[in-house]
Amino acid sequence: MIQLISFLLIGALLLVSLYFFARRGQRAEGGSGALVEARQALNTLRGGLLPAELVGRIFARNDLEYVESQASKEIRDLFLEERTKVALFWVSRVRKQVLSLRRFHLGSARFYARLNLRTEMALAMDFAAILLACRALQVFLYIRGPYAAPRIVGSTAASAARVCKISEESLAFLTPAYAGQVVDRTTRSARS
Amino acid sequence: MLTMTMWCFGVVLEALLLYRGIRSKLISRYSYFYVYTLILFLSDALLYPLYASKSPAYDRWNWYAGFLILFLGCGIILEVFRHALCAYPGAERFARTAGTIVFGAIFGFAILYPIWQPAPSVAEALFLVVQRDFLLVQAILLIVLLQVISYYSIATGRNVKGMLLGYGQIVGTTLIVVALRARLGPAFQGTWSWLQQFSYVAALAIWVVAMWSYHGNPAPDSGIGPDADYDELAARTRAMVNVAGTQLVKVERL
Repeated sequence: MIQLISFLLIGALLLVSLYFFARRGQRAEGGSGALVEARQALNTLRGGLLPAELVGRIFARNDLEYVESQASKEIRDLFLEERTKVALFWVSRVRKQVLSLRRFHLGSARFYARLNLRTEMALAMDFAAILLACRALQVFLYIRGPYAAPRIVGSTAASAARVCKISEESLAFLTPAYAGQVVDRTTRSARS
Repeated sequence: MLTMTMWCFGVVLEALLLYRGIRSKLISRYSYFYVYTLILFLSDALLYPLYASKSPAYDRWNWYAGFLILFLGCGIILEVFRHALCAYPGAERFARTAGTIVFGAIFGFAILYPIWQPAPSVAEALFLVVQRDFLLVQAILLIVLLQVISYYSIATGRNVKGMLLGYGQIVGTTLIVVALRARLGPAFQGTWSWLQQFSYVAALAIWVVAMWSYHGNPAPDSGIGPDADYDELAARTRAMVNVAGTQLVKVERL
């Protein structure tokens, strides 16, 4: 019976994999598009999502203190509800950009003849762990709210600086001359 | 009657597939696939009169043809490897390791079977067991291949996609019905036979549409050479991930 179930499961898994394979798009990823996308993700992380002043503003406790001192309980609750939504949106955007960086890594790694299976598997686990951490953070914010952890601002800002620095190095290392060509090509195609 | 109709329909589709392969010069591009189709066509066309006349020679030749088709089906997987992954040395290396193991098993079997040459009755029983195990290996290989294609976002053209979908569908369906037949016994024989025929005709229909003309794989636009330093890329990516992960965990613990 176990043998039958395993055969049926593998057969079904193959058919399901084929279904998703048939549904996916035909876009050739990993080329200039991926490089531009990865650079955009990095720029968004550095300039749009992770600057200390933005993170500080989202989680600023003095905003809450001001609302508490000036307004009624209903307004305070509404403020907390809105601020939680903003914080959750912020984490989901960070997660999306990390996904974009992962896509860039995979788009690059597949061209390397000396690709190491063990390293790739370990990296896949690492990416999964960080994405899971983002999810956990979302749950944390959802349950406890944006002001439950006062030190969240400093820690996130530190994370931002370090992640972006290493990402920048990774992207610059790959093909700096090529990146320049891609930007030129993208600019030209945007003009035409 | 339904069996005979589907059989004839299958032969027509196989002939059309071969005709289009010659007309659109796909035979030279996908040689393994067309060798498989040719053997499928010859076996179906030649065995049909034997089956219709209820000749005893049918049983013997049917199992031999079955073994040959089972063996040649791996050529389609090889074809997909060759065409889908040739532009991606990293992904190809990943898939090649698994492919080598499977083909070692296939050639080992191909050498051992003619030496053994069992009687037709033994061949029938052996065929069902070997077919099931063989299909299991192929199914696992196809799942690995599909995951590699999906994980590394490898774009495939209509030809390769059609080959993979058609053959994968045959392998998946056959694996399920063969396992069920082994469990349910001769009572399942009629359904088993019909489902297998239907699966083959469906695959042929997919192939006729997908292989009507040449549609190559979209070429990736990359400035990365195959000899570039993978270790450095991996080390930097790992450092990036580790830092981000550590910081996020710290945030959660606040």
